[in-house]
Amino acid sequence: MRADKDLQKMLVEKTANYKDTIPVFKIRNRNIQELHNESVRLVLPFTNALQAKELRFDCVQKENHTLLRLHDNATLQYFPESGCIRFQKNTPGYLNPISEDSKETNKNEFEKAACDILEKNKLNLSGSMDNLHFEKLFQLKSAGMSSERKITPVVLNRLVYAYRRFVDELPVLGSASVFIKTSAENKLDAFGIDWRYLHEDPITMATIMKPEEAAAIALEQLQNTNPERLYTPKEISPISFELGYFSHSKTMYQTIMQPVYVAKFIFTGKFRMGYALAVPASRTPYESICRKVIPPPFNAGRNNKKVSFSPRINPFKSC
Amino acid sequence: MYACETLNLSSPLDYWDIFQRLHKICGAYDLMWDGWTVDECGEDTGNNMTNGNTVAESWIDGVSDWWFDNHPMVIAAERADTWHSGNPDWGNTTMYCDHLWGHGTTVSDISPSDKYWLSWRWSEG
Repeated sequence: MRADKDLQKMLVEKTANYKDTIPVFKIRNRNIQELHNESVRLVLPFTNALQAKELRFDCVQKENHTLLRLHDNATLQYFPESGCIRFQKNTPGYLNPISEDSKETNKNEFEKAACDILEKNKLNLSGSMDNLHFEKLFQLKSAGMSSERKITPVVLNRLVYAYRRFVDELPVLGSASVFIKTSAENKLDAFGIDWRYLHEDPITMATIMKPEEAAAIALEQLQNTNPERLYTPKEISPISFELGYFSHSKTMYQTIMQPVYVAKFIFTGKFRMGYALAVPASRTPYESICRKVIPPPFNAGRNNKKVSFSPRINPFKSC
Repeated sequence: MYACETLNLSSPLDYWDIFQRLHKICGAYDLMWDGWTVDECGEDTGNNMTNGNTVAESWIDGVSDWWFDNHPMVIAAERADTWHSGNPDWGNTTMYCDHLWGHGTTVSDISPSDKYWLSWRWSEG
């Protein structure tokens, strides 16, 4: 395997949540009606409707999700492949700011309110086999400066509380399991739920690879992004190496909640970039965790002159 | 521009001369991440815009999966009439008015002589 030994050692030192064996679960994917009903039930408290049947909406079927246009420009989207739900009130971002001058705010106080906000909005879907924990707070701010270099106060417009789901004490790794965007007085402005329901009984117990072995695989996978050179600690810095359950992006179908190691790196130097990759944590290939690969549009500008279209798919080639 | 450090949060006025009728720049002031959870961020940004969000809101929300510590930022050119002695009339700014054509209001181009201040909006984790 092609991997720098020092880099491998650094990555292994970052290992978190390691266990010898962990249960593998089958995902209970919801049908479209079930998903629709659940989405409507969750947004009902944030609308003027008292019951689901009173909710008026315009339904638009998109390529990979359903969009419901609600009153006052609010939108609700649900993604059948993952069961992911997104609700946005679409109130203009400058209205109801949390603070007109963010210097007067205290981030710790916001973080303390995170659990209350989750419970108040009834967006905690955890049951007997999983838990939801507050993970991170994001602040959305705005400011301005005139040509004479006079600066405005920094306005704190919105807060985004991100929460992480844990199954069997292991995090479900993917986009935030639940996020809540709030405006002034903790009023909900948007929320998102990325939650794949599980069948309670595990289908099997997976034997977990040792971190050393998984780190070598992760580094080899990383190496494949640039096969011409061997990455060293001078160019890349490991940030974390975490064992958890894999959750795909919201338009990807998934049937198994399987263990993975997720490695996070930062490319240092002139071209900084964060890079995260997941590798299976067990030798049993339960399901593909490959990334979604979408080709660029055929009319996209391409700098590499050597690239040519295959005649079979070239839409501009005359017969 | 989904790439790291394409904009400078500590000195946004450096971009003053770029705004020759340009409305906005969407970029990042620090690290951005590549991973499977942000594979759909272009699609999400587009969906947000066609759902009626402003361009700035669409960008910041679209490129955020609220897991990776992304640092999106938007800078916009503004007119003098929204400056209000340093307490901006945010509701009439390019930042908060500009939508995708056909999906909400769009401010008219600001000529270099009418440009008075720059606004910026960002997300920090």
